[in-house]
Parts: sequence; structure tokens; C-alpha cells
Amino acid sequence: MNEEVLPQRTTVLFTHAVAQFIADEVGADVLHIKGPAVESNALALGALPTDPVRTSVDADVLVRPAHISLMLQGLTRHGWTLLYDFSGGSPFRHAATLGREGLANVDVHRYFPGIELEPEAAFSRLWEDRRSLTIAAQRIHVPSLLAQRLILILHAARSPAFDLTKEARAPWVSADPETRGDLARLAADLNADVAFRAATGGLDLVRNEPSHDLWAALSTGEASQVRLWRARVRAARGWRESVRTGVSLLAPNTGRMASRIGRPLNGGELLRAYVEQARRGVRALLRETHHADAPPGDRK
Amino acid sequence: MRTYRVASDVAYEQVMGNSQAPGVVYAMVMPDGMPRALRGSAAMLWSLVAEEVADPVGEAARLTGVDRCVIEGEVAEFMESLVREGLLEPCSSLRSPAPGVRPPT
Repeated sequence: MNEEVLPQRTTVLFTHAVAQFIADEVGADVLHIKGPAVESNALALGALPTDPVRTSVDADVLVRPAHISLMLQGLTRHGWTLLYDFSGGSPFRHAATLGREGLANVDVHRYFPGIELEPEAAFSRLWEDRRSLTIAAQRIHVPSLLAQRLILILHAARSPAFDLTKEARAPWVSADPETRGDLARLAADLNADVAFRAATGGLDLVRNEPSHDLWAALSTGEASQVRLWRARVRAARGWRESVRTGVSLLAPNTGRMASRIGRPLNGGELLRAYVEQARRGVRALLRETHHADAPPGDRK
Repeated sequence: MRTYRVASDVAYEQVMGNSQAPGVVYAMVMPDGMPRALRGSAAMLWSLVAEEVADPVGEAARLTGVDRCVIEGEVAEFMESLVREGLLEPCSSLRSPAPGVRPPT
């Protein structure tokens, strides 16, 4: 028997199994999403070149928000290191990433982008219809087949350069009319209409929703950071969150920078990072203003 | 010879082989163990245990075409080494319930 580098797919499977083990140990409710936790065959997605099982590089788990601390403590107690906290990951601040030797990273989600229902209520809605799936000979909890399909659709809606012809839409394209109706109802239950429509069409019907601009920008591969910033601030709930979102999006991602250089940033590096990010923000705003002032024919 | 089963806290995956690459079994004791690889006859024996074949030694002898008496000692030694690593457990040992699983009331 030899220790060796495992196939990436196997490390992801084992991470799912270990995450479930630790969740059971600490009493945290978790649902495994995306990657090998998607029942591709049941959803008739198995034959795609972009099969999520084959392209996944980490394990994603959605944790009941009230159990997030329990889960993070359980993982760190078992040797997992926090690589990115919630504010250092994606601009949605929805997931923290942890890693350990020999396994794939785990992304611990406290909510899923696109689902705008209050996170605890949204989790409970998904939890009540959960299923069991065996991965690496271990039983894990996954959302219902319908919810698995919806989560893939919502995820596709924020993929960069989302293209209506791409296979990212397979979870929608392969759904029969009855399933499409069920998907729309589940999206409504979860207050996920905007992201759902961004992926499946009809986004104009929800143009008055605060998150409309954000999902319109994400689903069309918006390149302007300023427009994305404005859309995210508009999508934030309440003025406090708007201010917090606006400020946090202007701050440099020090977690990622520290991860890149392999150590925490020192005081001078932190200061330079903030100054550089502020410069970038100002340059982008100036470009945007210039762009907006130019006649439409001159815009590039 | 004792009989064995995969320990309940072991995650494993069997990767089927082909003419170029033989099958491999990857296994780890959760939650803190390091994943290990079992190849060749080790992978075959693991598969027989995991599939709860009644007489894995006899089946291994049949599959490899080697006399049972020749392999029995080595197989027993190998199985015991996996028990020491926590990957297998003797069937006589009581299986502890998985965390969070309550007995039926």
C-alpha cells in the first residue's frame, strides 16, 4: 500500500465524506451541492462534457446558517485551515474555503447566491425535501432532485460570459415542461426569481427588483467593475448593507493576497494594497464617467 | 480464518481498471486519516471484502488461479495489517452507530 497523489475526483469525493462525518459529529445540518453531489444520471446530465462531477475541484456544502460556527469549529478541530473567510472569497461573501493536506478544499456556504429568501428559512425549505446519496461509501445529505437542478441553474446564471447556448444551461434545457413549472415554483418559494430568470429568460419581467441589475450584469458577463459595483450596492438589502457592500467591494482582498504569497501581509503591504485598490477604483470610475459622456457611437 | 468488513468510518472509492492500468482502491479513515492507495491483489482483496463475499480467500484463489493453501497465510497477514490501520474490522466486533444516527425507538 502506497501513499500517493490521488486523482482530483477522488479527493473531492473524500472531502464530501469527511465534511458529512464532521457535520454529524458536531450536529450541524449540511446539504452537499454541486460537483459529485449532483445526481447527474437522475437529472440526465451525465453525458455532458461539462459534467459537474468531472469538472469539480472542491467540495461545496451548504450549511444551516445557525450551524455555521459549529461546522467551522469542527473542521478546524480536525486540522482544516481557513484559506478564505466569507469576506475574502467571492463578492457575494457567501462561502468560506478551508483546506487540509491530502484532500480537496471544502467551500462552506452560508447561503447560495441567487436565493434571496432569508438564509435560515431558505435552508429549512431545502432541508425538508433532502435526499441521501452515497459518496465514497458514505451517506451524505443532498437537496431534492428539483433543488439540485435549480441550484445548477442559479450557479450558471452567475458564470462569467454566460451564454445561452452553453451546456451550463443543460439543467434547464433538459427539463420537461412539468419540471420547468416545478422549478419556477421552487424558485418563487426561495425568492430566487431574479437569478432564475437571468438564467432561463424573462429577466425583464422582474426589472423593478433591486437585484435585477446585478443578475443582468452577471448573466451577460458584464466586464465593467464599476457597473458591477453599482449593481451589487443596489441589490443589497437596506441602507446599512448597501454601505457595507459598497465599502467592502472597494477594499483589497487581503485574504487572497496572503494566500498567494504564503504569509499574512505586513503593515506596509496592507497600506500599499489599500492605496492601489483605491487608485484602481478611481481610474475605473473616471473611465466609466468618460465612457458615459461619450456619444453612443464612440463607446467601446 | 477471521472474516472482515470495511470499518464504518472509512471512505473509499474503487476505480475500475482496464488493459493499460489495473484497478485501484483509495481508502481513508475519517475524519483525520490520510488517503491510501491499494493496487493489484490488495485492491482485489479489498473489493471482495467490500462486496461481502462469503469466502474472500477462496474467491481470491479462484480468481488468481493460485492454490488456496499458498495464499491463505499472506491474505490473513494483509487483512490484519488493514485492521491495525483502521481500514477493516473483524466481523465479530460490534459496529458503532455513525455519529448522529439514533437507534430506532
